[in-house]
Amino acid sequence: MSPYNPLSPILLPWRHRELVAPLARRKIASRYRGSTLGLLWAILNPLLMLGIYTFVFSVVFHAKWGLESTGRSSFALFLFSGFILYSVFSDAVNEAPSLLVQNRLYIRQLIFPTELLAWISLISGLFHFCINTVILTIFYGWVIGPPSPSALLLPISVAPIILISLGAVWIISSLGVHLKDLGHIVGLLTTALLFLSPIFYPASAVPESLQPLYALNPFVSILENSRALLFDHSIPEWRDWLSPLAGAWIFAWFGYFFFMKTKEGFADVV
Amino acid sequence: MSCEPQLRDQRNDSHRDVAIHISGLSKTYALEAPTGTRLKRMLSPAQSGSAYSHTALSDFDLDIFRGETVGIVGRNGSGKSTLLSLVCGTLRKSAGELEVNGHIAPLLTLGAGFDPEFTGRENALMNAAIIGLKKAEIRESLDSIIEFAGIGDFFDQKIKTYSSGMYARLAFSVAIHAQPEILVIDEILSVGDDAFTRKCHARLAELKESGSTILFVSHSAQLVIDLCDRAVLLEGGSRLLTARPKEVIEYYHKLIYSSPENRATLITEIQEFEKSGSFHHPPTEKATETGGAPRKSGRFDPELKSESRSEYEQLGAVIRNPRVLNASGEQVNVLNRGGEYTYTYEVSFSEDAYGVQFGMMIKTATGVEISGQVSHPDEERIEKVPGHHTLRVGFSFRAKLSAGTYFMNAGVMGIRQGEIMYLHRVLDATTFRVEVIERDQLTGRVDLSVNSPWTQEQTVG
Repeated sequence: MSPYNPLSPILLPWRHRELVAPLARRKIASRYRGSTLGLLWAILNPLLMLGIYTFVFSVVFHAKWGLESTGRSSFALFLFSGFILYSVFSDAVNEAPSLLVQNRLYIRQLIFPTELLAWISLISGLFHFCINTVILTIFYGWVIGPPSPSALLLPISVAPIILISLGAVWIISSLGVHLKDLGHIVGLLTTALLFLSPIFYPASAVPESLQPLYALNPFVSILENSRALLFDHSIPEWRDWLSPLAGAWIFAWFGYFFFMKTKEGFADVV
Repeated sequence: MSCEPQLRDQRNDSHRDVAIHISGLSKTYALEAPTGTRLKRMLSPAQSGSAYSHTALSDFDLDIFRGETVGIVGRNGSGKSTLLSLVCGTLRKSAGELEVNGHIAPLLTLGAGFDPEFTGRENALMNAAIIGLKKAEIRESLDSIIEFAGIGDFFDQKIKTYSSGMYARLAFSVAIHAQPEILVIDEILSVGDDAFTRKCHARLAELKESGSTILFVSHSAQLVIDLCDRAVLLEGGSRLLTARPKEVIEYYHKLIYSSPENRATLITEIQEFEKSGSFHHPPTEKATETGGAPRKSGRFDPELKSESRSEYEQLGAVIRNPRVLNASGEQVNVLNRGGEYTYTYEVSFSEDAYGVQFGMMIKTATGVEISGQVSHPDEERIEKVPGHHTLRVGFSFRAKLSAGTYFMNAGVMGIRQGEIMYLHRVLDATTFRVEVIERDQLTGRVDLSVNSPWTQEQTVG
């Protein structure tokens, strides 16, 4: 699809719909195929992470979530909700540097739209996000009570994350073909961003003087908006939602453009 | 004035018949260069031809017409696979024109994207989707894919349990069901057992019949000759020759067995042949090369050697010096069709041997056994050969074979502990080539002296 069309990044999976379903299914299945517990890992993994983070931050560090008087379990919920949203991004991006090299057969031996690999990576991430959301909902119901209807708007706040991730995967995977060091750099960056985003703490905990700088991180508004939907039962202003979306879209388009302009050279080097 | 539009129409028509148009196509690979350089080059593709490059294909021209089957032959590293990858669009061309009219199914490797943790069925469905089959098409052809692969219950087993032959069968079966307008196949047809190979060939012939355009690389001379309308000889990234398959194969064989010193001369010869465009008159042997010897007796080409020689364990006997002699007793390896020759070798026995019998076999380059013989019938074996004796065996034969390269086995059998076994056996012990002859009418492998065909007018009614 033309890299000049701003809709291309979004329409891509529809255009290749015959391919997307089997590829995504395989990608998800191959992660668990052969292991004894199989798909159960998709549930165990986030649960264990949730437990560890809760222990470290609320039991060891005695972290408090701002003004509200919250118990340990609701702290875990705050943390988990931010974490699963961020994971959509970090899972896809961490895999990006080696994405094309891993799929070198598709590049060298088949006529295959390699730009689709970013989407497949993301769809796999979204699948895990859905599982995590179910876990979140169950815990929410247990700890706090029935979730508010505003939680149904969560997919809207996920949209910018999808777009940012797509853009990042396209750029990083393309560069990763040439720069083997990228794997290390990206791992550092996603960890840094994990701590520089309001995941283990609310954005309000950042000192006033640093707030303008902090707000440059696109995940700040996205994560704050999502948590507002889930916990404050408040629907963000359309402007708060639209500006990250617009920015994310432009970023995704740029990433796609970059990928399409460089993809012809992949076969020479993978 | 009036004829001008007509001319243009004609050209359009002929253009529509071209499935693949290649002109001046080149491919230069960037070799391992400092990372920064590679990255820079990626961003500005115009900047090429640096010190870190290797030209795999240069200035290649070829028009492949719709429904045509073209075979590509050439030594290793001559640019065959690069050419196919360029045509498929998996590699970016460095220069030149490349136009492909129609949907391409690439078969550059078998089972691209196969995952060992999944079953044959899962992989087949996945692979089919990747090579461009629609869901409905996959559903329709699934039974046929299963049947063609012929791997039975293994179809629902994980691929990691497959033998390499089964793997190949499954992969080829899926690929061949793509019903492509243009099928591009790299050297992959040699996999699987004979029965499956024949099935693949039959399927290719069927695809060809149904109008598919096929472009393929093969080392199998017979396949190229059987299937192709035209063949192309590549050498060092350049097209040396485009001609009828038979002629191309002949030159190809000469090229493989040529020494580096003689190669340049041979290449010039081929280029001249290509320029002359005299496809229907294969080149005649130059008088200087035969060394003035009578034509019937053949000659010796020191570069023609068996490189695939292998031998069995020696059990008290060893075969030495297998060779072919002409009627005057000179060693030869380039034979003339119909000439009388003797295949001979010595066998030295280091211990007493009983029930001895010698054997030979002539095979094609693809290993098809054409004709073999044992020295004595089973009932009349040599009762005893005492140790430290050397016997010489000779088998005379008439080289009634088509042009091409052949390999010969040598073997000595004896009875040990009541069992007949090889005391020594050498596979591909020696090789010979049968020369091309002018105005050849023979097809197939063996000349059974079929009478020259005649035609006469037949009145109907």
